[in-house]
Amino acid sequence: MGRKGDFANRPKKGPGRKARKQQAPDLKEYLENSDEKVLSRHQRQRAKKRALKQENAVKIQDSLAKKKKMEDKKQDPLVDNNNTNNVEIKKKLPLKNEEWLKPKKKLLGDDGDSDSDNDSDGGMMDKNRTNTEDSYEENEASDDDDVEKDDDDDDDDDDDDDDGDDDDDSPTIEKQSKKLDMKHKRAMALGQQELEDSAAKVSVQIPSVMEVEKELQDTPDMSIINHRIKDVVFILGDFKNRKEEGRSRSEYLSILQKDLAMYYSYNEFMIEKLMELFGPSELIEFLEANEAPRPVTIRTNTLKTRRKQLAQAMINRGINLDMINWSKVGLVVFDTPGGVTLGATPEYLAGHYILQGASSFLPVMALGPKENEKVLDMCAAPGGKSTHIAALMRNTGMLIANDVNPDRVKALFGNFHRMGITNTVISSLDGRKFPKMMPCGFNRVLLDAPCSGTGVISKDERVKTSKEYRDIQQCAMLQKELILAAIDSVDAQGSNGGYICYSTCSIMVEENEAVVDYALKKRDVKLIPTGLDVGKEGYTKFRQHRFHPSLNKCKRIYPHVNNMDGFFIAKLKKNSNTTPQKEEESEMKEQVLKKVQQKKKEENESGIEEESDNGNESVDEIMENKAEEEEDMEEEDGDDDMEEDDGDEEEHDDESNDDESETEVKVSPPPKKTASPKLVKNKPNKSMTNSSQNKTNKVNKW
Amino acid sequence: MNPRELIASLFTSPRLCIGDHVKSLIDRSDGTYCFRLNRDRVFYVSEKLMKLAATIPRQNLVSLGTCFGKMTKTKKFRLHVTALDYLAPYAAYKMWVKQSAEQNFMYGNHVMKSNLARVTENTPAYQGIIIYGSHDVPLGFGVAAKSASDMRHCDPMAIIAFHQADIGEYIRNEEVLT
Repeated sequence: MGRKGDFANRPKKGPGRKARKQQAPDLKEYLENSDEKVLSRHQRQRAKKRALKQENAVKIQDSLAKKKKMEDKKQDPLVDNNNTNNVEIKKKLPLKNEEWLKPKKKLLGDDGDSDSDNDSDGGMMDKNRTNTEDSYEENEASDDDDVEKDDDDDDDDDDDDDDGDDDDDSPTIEKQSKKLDMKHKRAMALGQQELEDSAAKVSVQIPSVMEVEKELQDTPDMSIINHRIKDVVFILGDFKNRKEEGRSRSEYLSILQKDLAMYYSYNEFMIEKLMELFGPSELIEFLEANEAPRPVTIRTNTLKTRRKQLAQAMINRGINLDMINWSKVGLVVFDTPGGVTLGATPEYLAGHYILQGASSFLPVMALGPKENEKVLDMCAAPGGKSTHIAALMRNTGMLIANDVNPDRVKALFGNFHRMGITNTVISSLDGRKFPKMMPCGFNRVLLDAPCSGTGVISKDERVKTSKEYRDIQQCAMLQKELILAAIDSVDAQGSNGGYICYSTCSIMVEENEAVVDYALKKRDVKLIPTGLDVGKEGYTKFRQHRFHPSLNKCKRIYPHVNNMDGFFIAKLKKNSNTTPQKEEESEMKEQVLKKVQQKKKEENESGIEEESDNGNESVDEIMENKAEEEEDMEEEDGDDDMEEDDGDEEEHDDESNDDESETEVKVSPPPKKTASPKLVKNKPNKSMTNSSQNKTNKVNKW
Repeated sequence: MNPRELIASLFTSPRLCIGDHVKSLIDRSDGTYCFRLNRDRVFYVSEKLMKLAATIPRQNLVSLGTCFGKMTKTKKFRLHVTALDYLAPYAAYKMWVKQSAEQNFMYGNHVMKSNLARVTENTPAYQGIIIYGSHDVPLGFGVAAKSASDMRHCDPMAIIAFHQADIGEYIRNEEVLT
C-alpha cells in the first residue's frame, strides 16, 4: 500500500502493438518556456498597440477630471497645475503658445502623468518607449527587419500621436462640436423667425377694385391674375393680421370675384353664387376641378353579363379598367387604345354596358327598386338611370320611362332596346301630367329633375357663362312642380312602396334643399336616409334660408371632394295619400259659405222662389259651377305652354269635408299666389272619384 | 290598315326566320304576351304592361316592351334589329363570323366567304339566319345567299349572307329606329 499509482496512464511495454503506439506529447516543456515567448513581428506590433491603448485609457480618465479643474480655475498657461510635486518650473517662452505648440511626444504624455515634469514628460515617455523598442529589438533575431521595424515604429508613433491627439482633445472637441451644434440651431431658429417676420411684414400689394376692373377690361394677363388670386386668398386666410391698412373684407372679396371670373371664364353671377357656397380656398379647388374631366365610368348591364366577364372582355380589347368599390356594377376606365371607342365596341352594341357618370349610380341605389314593382322615371333621357332601374328589377314588374323632349326620347328607345329591357313603356309626356293620368299608381318614382347643371360644369362649359338668376329661378319652379307631381303619383299604401327619390346634377341650394323643403311643406312626406356612404349632408340652414331639420339626410356630391359630378340626392317617403288643406282653401270655403248665407238671408227677406233655389244650392255646387266656368276658360288657353306656367300646381284634393255631408265632394284647389293673375287653375279632378284615401284633413306636421 | 292583314304578313313573312315559334312567344310561362301596333310599329309586350300603357295617349306613347319592327307603307312587315334578343334563341340556322370580320358586318356590309367561321349544317339558300360573332354574341340577322354546301365550294370574295340588320344600327340608325 503506498501512494496511489497512476495505473491508467502507465506506458505500455513489451513487443506488442500497444507498446509501439506513439505516446502523447509532453507539454510541460512548452508550458515552462512560456516566459520567454518568441513573438512574430505582427504580434509585437499588436502588443505594442495594446499596451499604449491601455495607458491612454487610463490617462483619458485622469485628464477628464483634471480638465474640469483646469477650466474652472482658468489656467495660466505658464502654471503647471499638474506639477503637484512642486518641481521647479522652468521658464516658459513668453509667446503664450503653449497650448498648441507642444513637442510631439509631449502630447502622449499629457497631463495625466503626475510624476513627471512638463518638460520631461515627453522625454520620460520617450524613454519608456525606447526601452520597449530596445527590448523588442533585442528579441529580434534577424537584422533585416530593423529598417522596416524602424519605419513601422515611426508609423506607429505617428498613429499613436494622432490617437493621443484625439484622445487629448476629444473632450474639448466633443464639447466644441456640441457648442457649434447649439449655435447652428439657434441661428437656424433665428433665421426662420426672421423669414416669417419678414413674410408677415411684406405687404402684398393688391390694387384697388377700380384698378382691377380696369385691368381686366383692358389687357388681362392671366399669370398676374393668378398671382393676385393667390395673394387675396392668402390674405383672406388670416384677414386680421394680413390685411392692408384701411381696406375692407368686401373689397378683397370683390377683387377676388372679378379675378376668378376672368381667370376661369365664369360670369359674375355664377362666381357670386359659388362664393356663397364655398370659402375662398375651397372655391379655387372647386373651380380647378371643373377644368378637368371626371374619370370615365361604365355600368355593367346585369341582364346580359356580369361585371367580371365584361371587365375581361374589355381587357382583351386593350381597354384599361378597374372596378368601383362602392358599386357592384360600376367600372372606371383609365384609357383605351387608339382605335377603340368606348361607345362602339361590340360589347356596347350588344348591350353589355352603358356609359354613365359615377354619380348617376347613386339616385338609383338610393331609390332601391325591387322586383315586381311599378316604377316611374319622370325625366329619364338618355336612359342611364332608367336602364339601371330595369336591371335591378330584372325585367319584372313595370317601368315607365318618360321624358318631355321627343328628340331625347329616341335615345331612350335605343338604349332600352340595346340593353334588352322588356318591362318598360317609354312615353313622351310632361311629367306634371302623371298624377292626373295615373294617380297614386306607382310604388316608386325617380325624379332626376332638369336643373341648371352647375355640378357638371366639367362636362359642359357653357354653364359657366349662360346661367343667370332667372334661369335658376325657372329651374327651381319647374322642379317644385315636378316634385309635387312625383309625390302625387306614388301610392303610399302598399307593403313596400311610397318612395320618391329626387336628384339633380346641381349644387345650388335653391334647386336642391329649397325644393325638398317645399315638398315637405306641401305634402305628407318625410325625408329618410338615402343609404349612401358618399357625400356631404344637405344644408338645414344656408344664409337666410332655414330648412326643415331633416334635410341633413340628403346628400351632396362635389367634384373636388368625391371626384364625381356634382349631385344632390334626397329620398322621400310618402306617409299617406292625402294632401294637406291649405289655409287659402278654407278661406275660400268660408267666403263661399258667407255668400250662401247671404243669399239665404236675401231669400228669406224677399221670399222669391228662384232665389231660394239658388239658396238651396250647396256650397259644393257653387264651387263646381265656378270650377266649370274656369275650366272652360282654361281650355281655351290651351295646355301646351307648360314651361311658361308660373308654378301652377295641380293638386289633387280628393275631397274635403268638414261639413257633415257624406258625399264625395270635388273641392277645387285654391287660387295660387302667382305672378300672372290671368288664370287661376281650378280644375276639379273628375278622375278622382275612385280614390280610396282617407277622408281626414291632415295638416302636414313636422 | 287591316289588322288581319298585318298579322298575316307578320307571321308569314318569309324573312321571319323563327317560323313556327311565334306561338311560343305568345304563350309564355310568365303571362300572356301579345303584339301591338302603335304608329306603324309592332311591339311585343306582356298584357299587364299593355294595360298600363293604355292610359298613355297614343301620340305620346313611344314604345311598349320590345319593338319588333315596323309595317311599311306597302303593308309589309320589316324586322328591326331590336327584335334580335327574341329571335336569337329560336333561330334554327346560325352563322358565326370571324372576330376580324365582326366590325365589317357591323358597318352594314354583307358577309363574305372569307369572313365565315362556321355555319349550321343543311342551311338552305335564302334562309333567314342569325349571325353571331365571337363568344356567341349575336350581331344581327340576315339571309343566307347560298346553301351551306355551296358555301364550302365558293371563292373567298363571294357573298354568302345578305345583311338585314345588325347591332351597329344602334349608333348608325338611331333616328330610324324610333
